[in-house]
Amino acid sequence: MNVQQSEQVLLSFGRTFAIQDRTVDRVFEELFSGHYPRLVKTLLRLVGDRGQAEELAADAFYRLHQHRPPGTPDALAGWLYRTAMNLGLDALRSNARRVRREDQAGREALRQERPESPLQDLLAEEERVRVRNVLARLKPEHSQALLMGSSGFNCKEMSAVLGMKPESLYVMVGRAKAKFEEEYLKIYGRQQ
Amino acid sequence: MTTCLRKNDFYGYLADSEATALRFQVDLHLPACQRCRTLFEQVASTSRRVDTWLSALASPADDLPVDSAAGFAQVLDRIDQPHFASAAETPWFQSLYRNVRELIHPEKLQPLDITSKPVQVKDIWGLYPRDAFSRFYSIGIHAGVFALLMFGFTNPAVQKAIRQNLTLIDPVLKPYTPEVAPKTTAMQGGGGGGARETLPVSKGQLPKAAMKQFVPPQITDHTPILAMNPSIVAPPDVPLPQSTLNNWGDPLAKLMNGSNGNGSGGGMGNGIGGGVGLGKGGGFGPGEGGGVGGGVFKVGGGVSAPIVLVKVDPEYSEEARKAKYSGTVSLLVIVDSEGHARDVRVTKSLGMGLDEKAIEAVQKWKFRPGMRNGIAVNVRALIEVNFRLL
Repeated sequence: MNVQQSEQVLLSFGRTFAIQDRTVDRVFEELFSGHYPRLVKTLLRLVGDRGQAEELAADAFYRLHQHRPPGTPDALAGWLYRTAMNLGLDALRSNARRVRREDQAGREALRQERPESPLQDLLAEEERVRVRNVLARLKPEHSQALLMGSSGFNCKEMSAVLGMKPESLYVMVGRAKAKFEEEYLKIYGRQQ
Repeated sequence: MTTCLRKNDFYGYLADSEATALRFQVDLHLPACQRCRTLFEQVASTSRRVDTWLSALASPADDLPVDSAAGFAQVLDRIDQPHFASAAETPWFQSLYRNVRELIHPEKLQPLDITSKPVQVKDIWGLYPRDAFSRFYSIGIHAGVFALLMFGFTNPAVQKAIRQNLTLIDPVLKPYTPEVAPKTTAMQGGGGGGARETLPVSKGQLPKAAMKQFVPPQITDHTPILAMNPSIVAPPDVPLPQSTLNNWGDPLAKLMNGSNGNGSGGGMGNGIGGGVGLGKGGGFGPGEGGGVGGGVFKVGGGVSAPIVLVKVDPEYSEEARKAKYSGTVSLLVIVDSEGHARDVRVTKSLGMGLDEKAIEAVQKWKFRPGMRNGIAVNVRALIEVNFRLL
């Protein structure tokens, strides 16, 4: 999102909510306009529910506003993503029972003969539930790295957001992928 | 040649598509190093698998636009709601401290200003109002039903009608006498033998019967220097099958082939011992222990009964002891020539584990074996084991 688009978004916010009277400042507004959509989409991949993803993103921005950690805008963006991912992982773990129930429901549905398209949908949803279950079992930094990598973040962006050098990021991504594969195969075997 | 690369270098190579020093180093080294190529294949395989799994998280919902304005309004609402802030930001130890404090020293609230008064309502326990005489009604109904039944069953007319419809069973009240098989005086026993030859025993005549055997019957191809007539072990007066053939053999065999049979222990036939036939011992026929006719000896007909020398009392089973169960178990056993009971069969069972206990005891008993003409023989005997509780 370039500066012109960001300005347009902020102007629309200003018209809607008259933010000049609010307590939010310019840096917060820029962070929101620059990262909120991407943060929602990343969280959507993690939790699988759009409403919950928007709630979590709003919660992360609220915490950013309340805590206001010191640092550059890039550092603030990193703090924001880490907080949002941790919130998403917490939500994922707290939803573990629901996830298991959905997983079981997916299996039950798969046993029944269905037309081609709904079957594919069910298979895809079952696979998503499995991947989220494995992500919830990994270390938060590993899950963050994998999720950001799969959401289209390149290495430079990930390094900036996660606040680490690229060499360290490679090490972490390598370990995260190896751990993910190990956990996935341990839980679900080689049935895929 | 450059130094070998690590797994993490390959992960970085796969993750970062930009022209970095690492990418240059990997591109330069991989063609020259087989070990690194193998390691790269492993890393690439794992990376591909994980990327495939993670790509499953993508869904059509990703392409829908995000309503940033609504999200911003949501954040501003949270900022403007102090109760949300206090609930979300209060550390856990503070809330725990506050809860414990309120539990110990509950906050004093202003007394409630009650503006209503209690209203009398109907009793909700039971569908009907209580009646003080209900217990007397119940007692009266029960007494009435009892009196009706007593009157009905003591009335002669009713009793007569019942008797006409009932079938009376006359129980057998005569004293119980065990039924035993009639004694037989027929000779029983048998014997067999053979010389482990391939052909079955030859047809021939039986040697004479004698109570003591010196030489078993055999077909031999040599003439003994001191000849002695063979015999089988059986009473001399027992009738034996006869044959007019000149050689020794089994008169019941089909062929005359000069064979002593495929049994063992001397004698002729398919059995064991010095007799003739299928049995075991010096007699003739399928039985054992000498004699003729099959089976074992029975008491009578010159065969004495075995006598118990050592008796072990049977134990009571726990189940029968609890049930105070008593009775007699009848066992049919063979007392062998060494005085041991074997082939024990239960002919009258008591159950509750007493049969097993009786068998266990009898197998420990020691007998003086049954005798026939001074020789110990196998004898079948019926033993009754009594179980009585004092």
